[in-house]
Amino acid sequence: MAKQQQRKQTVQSKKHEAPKKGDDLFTYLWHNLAVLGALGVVFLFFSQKFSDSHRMNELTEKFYQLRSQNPNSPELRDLYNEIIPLQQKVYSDTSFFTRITRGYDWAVNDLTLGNLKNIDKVKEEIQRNREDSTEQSYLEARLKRKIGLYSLFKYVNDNTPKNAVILLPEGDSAVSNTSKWNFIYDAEWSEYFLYPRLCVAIGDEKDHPDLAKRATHVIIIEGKGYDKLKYNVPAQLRQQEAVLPIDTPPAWLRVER
Amino acid sequence: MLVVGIILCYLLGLSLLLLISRKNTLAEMVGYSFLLGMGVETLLLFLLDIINLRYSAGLLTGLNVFGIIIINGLNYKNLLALKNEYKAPAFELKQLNLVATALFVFMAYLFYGITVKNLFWPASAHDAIGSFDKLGKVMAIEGKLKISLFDYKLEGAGGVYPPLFHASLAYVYIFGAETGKIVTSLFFLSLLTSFYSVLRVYVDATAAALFTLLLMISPELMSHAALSLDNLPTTAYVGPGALATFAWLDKRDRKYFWLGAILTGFAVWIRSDTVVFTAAALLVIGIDFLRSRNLKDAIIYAAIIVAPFIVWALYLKFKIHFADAAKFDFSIGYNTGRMDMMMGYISAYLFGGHYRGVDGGQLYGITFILFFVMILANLGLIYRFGARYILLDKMYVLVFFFAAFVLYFVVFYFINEQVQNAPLYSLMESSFKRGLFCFIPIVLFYSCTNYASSMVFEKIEKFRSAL
Repeated sequence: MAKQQQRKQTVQSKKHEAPKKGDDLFTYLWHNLAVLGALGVVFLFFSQKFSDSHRMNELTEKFYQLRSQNPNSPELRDLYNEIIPLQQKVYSDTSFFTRITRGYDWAVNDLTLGNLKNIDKVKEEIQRNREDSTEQSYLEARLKRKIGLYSLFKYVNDNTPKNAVILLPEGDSAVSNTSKWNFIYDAEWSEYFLYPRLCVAIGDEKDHPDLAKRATHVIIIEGKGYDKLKYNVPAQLRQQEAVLPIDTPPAWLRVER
Repeated sequence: MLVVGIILCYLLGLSLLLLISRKNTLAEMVGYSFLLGMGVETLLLFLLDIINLRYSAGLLTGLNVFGIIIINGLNYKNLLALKNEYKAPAFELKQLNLVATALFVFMAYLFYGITVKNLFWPASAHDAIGSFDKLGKVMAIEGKLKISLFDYKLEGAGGVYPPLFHASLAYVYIFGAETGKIVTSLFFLSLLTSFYSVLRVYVDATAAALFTLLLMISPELMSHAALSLDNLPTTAYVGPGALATFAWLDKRDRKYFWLGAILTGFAVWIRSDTVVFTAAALLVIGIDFLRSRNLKDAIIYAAIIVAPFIVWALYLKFKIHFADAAKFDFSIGYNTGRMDMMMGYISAYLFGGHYRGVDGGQLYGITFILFFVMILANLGLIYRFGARYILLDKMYVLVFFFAAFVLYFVVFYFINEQVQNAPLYSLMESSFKRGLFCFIPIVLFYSCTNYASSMVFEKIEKFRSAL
């Protein structure tokens, strides 16, 4: 009787100790890895799906880089021949599935990871040009690469007093409509670079009559803006890009005279 | 000095969070601390402007330290209890969710990548230069909210926006930041962590991490994580504010009541057009009031979320002297051309279509498509589980989404193009498109936590944890 009871207890304790499915570390890890593997397959599927697009971008970048270094390079033709079929393949895939997943590929591979590579290249270039000697020069080096007009604004700031009121060129109907001039005719935009100086665009004087009356300088772009000056600048001395005081000629012009 | 400013902002927010509730997860502390902290910092800058005290790093440091001490002093009993409750985390390999860990590592890498890009390039977006970053910089220099540029109409379009975003830029500039873009990264981090933390209330870590990844890589939203524009920060308030409100209505955890109210309040402290979400929140709280008859909570919630809107309207009128032009043109009535154009853009954005050169699939991926598919999937489950059960599941989320979206549609339909100085197509391709960011956390929350998804995720989790 006692033996039977003992056996029953042993069986019960064994039952109690019997590992649950999840108590087994190996099973636990294996199941985790299985789910992870399934996610990995999805990831690989997308990676494969957009591999042609990545290859095309890579080759196109290489093509333009090579062309800028040597436009007659024989390698250009090979690259071109490789790019065109890829381009046809990528652009012909307009399925709904591709359309709703392409954005994710762009966000991960181009926007995020691709940009890390680009930034490394820019950093190297800045370092090579010794533009990173001070924190300020490093910031300016990056600004110059992002804002085409930054150097012009810096020049304006270096050549005008802080209380100047600057006439900006008229809208893009008056100057070439290229990205070179960014939004120079937009006073709200240009003010960012010119503060504490104030500015108003030629043509917008009616909206800012106070500023227009107080204008002290004018930014010359593509040789335009000389008509706003109260003195004459001889044709041979006219620069394409400059900032000039409106009322009195600058010292260099007086010397020339 | 910038590090000091950011730490103070986090500590102030954390102190407030602990005052609201002492029980918080790490994700909640990371996410909500910054959102609360920066919201309060900008209120502080607003109040200093009202009483004509010039901003400085010293003054802000002093006020922050004082505020942190006062809040924690008032909350010392809770903090002592928190100390007693604290248990050192024990690590067991079997508690490690390898799938969620892998997803976190991937997200951390992506976050690193986009943050490097964000911090490397100075602000260059047109609206950042013409408005937000300029306002922030000049506020820091002049030490006030109503900067001199208002006198010359050079403040830019964002000048009439409530100040949370540009004042947050001013805050980091006051503490010596080289570029204000660090706040974009912190808002992005807060959006992701607070989104994850609310999802965790409903689903397991694997599902929560997966949907947080989907939120993170929403293409158009992610591109804004490297820009100095206000759309992502607005989403960082609207999304977590709405989700906390849903969690309050579902779980009745008091913490979410306060978080929902405060963050939704800050949503109209960053952009006034988010008032459509304020209205949607009032609607769901109103419905809840009809069911629960809790008038006190309804009034407190409504007062918190509406107050910032009124305060800013008064500031614009009396301090900025902003002449409010008619933003809406109700004489438009029903205009087929206008309606067709808007529907064309909306169907492109929501269903991954093409319209006038816009590729909706490229912008939002599966975000909205998944939402509508999940609604249909749940409707399909009515047959099995009964209409009442399925329809009541996440009803508040659906009411909130559709109410806010209809209002959002109406705002753009009646918008006065002349006052906006832009044609409707341009507004649909910029403002409307970016405004959709605020809906992304809401629709992904629904897609992850609805009945049909929960069933699937439960099965996956059961397999993963080998139970």
